[in-house]
Amino acid sequence: MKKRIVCLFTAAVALLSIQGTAVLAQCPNDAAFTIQDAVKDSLCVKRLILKLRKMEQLPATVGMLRNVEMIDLQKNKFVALPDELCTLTKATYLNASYNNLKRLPQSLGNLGNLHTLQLDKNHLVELPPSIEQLGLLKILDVSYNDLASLNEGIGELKKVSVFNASHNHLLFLPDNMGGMSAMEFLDLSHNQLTALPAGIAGMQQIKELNVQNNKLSSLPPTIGELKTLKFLGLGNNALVALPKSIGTLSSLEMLILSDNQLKTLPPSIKKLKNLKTLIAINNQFSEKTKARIRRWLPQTNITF
Amino acid sequence: MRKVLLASGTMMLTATLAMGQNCAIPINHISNFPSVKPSAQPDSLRIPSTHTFQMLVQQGDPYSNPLNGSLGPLFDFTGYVGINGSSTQGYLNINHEGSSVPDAGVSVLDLHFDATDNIWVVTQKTPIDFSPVQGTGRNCSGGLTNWGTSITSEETLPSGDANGDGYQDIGWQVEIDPATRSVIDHDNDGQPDKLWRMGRMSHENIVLASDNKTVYETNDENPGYVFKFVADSAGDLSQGKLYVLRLDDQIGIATTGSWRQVPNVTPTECNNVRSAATSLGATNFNSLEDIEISPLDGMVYFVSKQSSRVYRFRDFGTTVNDVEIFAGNPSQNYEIHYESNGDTLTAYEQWRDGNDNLTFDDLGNLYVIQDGGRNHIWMITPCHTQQNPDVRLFAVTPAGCEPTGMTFSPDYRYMFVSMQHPDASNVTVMKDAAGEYVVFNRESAIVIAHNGFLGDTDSTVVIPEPTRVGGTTSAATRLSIVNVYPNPATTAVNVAISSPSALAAQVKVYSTTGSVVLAKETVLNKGTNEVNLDAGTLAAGMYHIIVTTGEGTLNARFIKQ
Repeated sequence: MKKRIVCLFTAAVALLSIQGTAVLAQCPNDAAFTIQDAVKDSLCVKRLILKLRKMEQLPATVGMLRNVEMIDLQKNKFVALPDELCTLTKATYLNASYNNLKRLPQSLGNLGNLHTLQLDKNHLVELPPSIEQLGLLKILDVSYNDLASLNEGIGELKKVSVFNASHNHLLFLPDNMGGMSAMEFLDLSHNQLTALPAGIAGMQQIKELNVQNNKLSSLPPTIGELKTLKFLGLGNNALVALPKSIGTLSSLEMLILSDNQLKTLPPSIKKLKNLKTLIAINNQFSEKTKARIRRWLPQTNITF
Repeated sequence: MRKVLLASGTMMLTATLAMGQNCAIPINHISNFPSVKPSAQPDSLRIPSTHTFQMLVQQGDPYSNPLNGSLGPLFDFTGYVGINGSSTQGYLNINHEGSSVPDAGVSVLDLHFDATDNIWVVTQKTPIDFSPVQGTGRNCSGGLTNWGTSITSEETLPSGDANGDGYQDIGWQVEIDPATRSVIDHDNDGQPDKLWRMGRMSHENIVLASDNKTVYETNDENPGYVFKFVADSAGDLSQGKLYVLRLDDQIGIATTGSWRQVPNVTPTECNNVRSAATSLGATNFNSLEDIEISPLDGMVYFVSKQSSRVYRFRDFGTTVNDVEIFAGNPSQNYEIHYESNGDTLTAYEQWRDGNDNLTFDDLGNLYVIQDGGRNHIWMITPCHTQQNPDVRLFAVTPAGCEPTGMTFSPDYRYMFVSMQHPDASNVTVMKDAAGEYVVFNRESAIVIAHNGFLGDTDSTVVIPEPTRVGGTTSAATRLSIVNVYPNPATTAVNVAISSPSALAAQVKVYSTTGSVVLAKETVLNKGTNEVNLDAGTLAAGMYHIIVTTGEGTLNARFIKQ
């Protein structure tokens, strides 16, 4: 918290230092494509676009860009980002995809105005605890990294509606993850998850949940509380049964169950009146069971 | 010889391929050239001596309307759309791969060929406003239709559903009318639409078959799948069925496969076609790049960047046959016969990694563009087989760049291609077909043709060989404009001029109507000079700077906001 206060103070001083001058009015351009150009008119830069610059290090001088709102660092060779980046408190968009990042600044949470944070295709093994301070964040992409776990701070991101943590090594999820109550699109596919937390029911606005290619052997009964869920991807897991509550997913339109060990589905599934598509190849259904499921879901396009 | 039923429903006859192919190339055809010498990237463009190029536009060039600013970075798909099929008048659609929602994802150039001067003339530069479709993202490659539109292929970005229509906002094929600079309104409800039924994925490109119904598309992700979309009606790509390719065995072993239908009716289904494809057992080719159809044999060719191979198959509607590797693997060496001072020499050039964009010409020659390796532009003739290779080297590209997005004029006389992210430190000045002195030190879109079809015969000259200083090229050894900044300008504009010696110079600024609006006499010192011009009194718009010295004339442009 101390760092955050310092950061806000710095920003306030910066704001005062430019008020009453014509600095911003004289800005020829609000976009910079090199860090050298950016620091020449440091207070003018609102968009810092350094994509594909083959950079290995982001200079600390980036901290001079106190008015920057959009930061695009994609496809460089960054292994780490400087702490000074986290003084840019006006930033709403930070994209550091396709780098070699192994860690993030501990003060990342100081970027309290971020609404989009893209960190996909790096080598991150953890997210800093301060991430919980990103209270305005709406979009978070940490896919294709080396995360084995998510810290509990993730559950404090109350405004995140799009979260992609696919293609990591996640073994489990924090119990409070359901605290991400604005979630709409959640992708946790291609991980090592063996269970979903019961608290996932807290995501009362979720539309799409993709947990394909994990090691789930069961689902929490609370999953049935996701009344807004339209897509549920459960393919390529180790499911032997679905909970009865699956039948209460009243908005569900598409259900993928391929490559599991299911022998039957609960009769409650017949309540899924909005289910348009069911794909369930490579399970252990008998022909008799398949016929029964078809009778239960006459309006559903089923692929066994 | 056998009859083949293509997915388009048309019957065609195919002779025995490759070995029986007639690979004779007419002397003035775009594909008739001696290979260039293979090498690492120099800081200029190396194309065959039979060909020349003209610079059309570079990053930072102002849009025609000053309020739109200037062309952004990362030129990708470079799609020429001829007006009514014209090869001399049309539009050039340039994708900006770096784009994201706040930026323009596609720029459209209006251009025509001036037969008097034998050069292309760009008359208008306009960004497309994608705000009616919630913006676009990472506009990668794309494709052309047969009815005067182009398609820009979005890669996926993590995106929500801002307008609540059920579709996630980014990750689609988007059809554009370049004439109106707008996205097509497919359902005529007054709001333009993306091509939802083709599915959401990291689209690489798209290719349309001659039936105007069948398209093939790939996704540049892992897993990466080959999709086929068959429209319900010819000429309308908004409705149709989607399929994904499943081979009957492992890649490299399978010679047959089949198409599995992928649900694509509801927004939820369209958002999740990749998940459905996975669950339907689709074959993962890992990070697929371009897919194209040969005009010669009707086979479908596609590349995987991961394996750096070109694959091909023949589509029989519900099944595919003749699945094989057509070219490449990273360690493959190809024999290149290149021209050097009138002699033909031979070198072995490694294919390396990163094969990316594909383009066929009308004779079935396949141009393969690399994003990786040495970033070459290769050409593979239809006579090529893995056992009897016929691979040629069309271009060695400027340092740091990835060539992108090749298309041709309908008469295959002109090739349009971009040089994405060349090194800013490139300094070699080239004289293009229009007589302009250009440097590949920023995003560049160019047109290439046989010498007789573009500019003067002595073009594509590299202006005096630059002096190397400590392994780098010195810009200070020749007369050139190094920079014009800020651009766009508001009150002042500075012209940085590199001079080989002390020179008297006259600097004039012309409006687009040809009036001199500013003039300044100065003396340039040896080295880099800065000339400051007062632009405060100028009206908003584009201006030309002409610097005249005893050693030559320089020109540049800037925009006044």
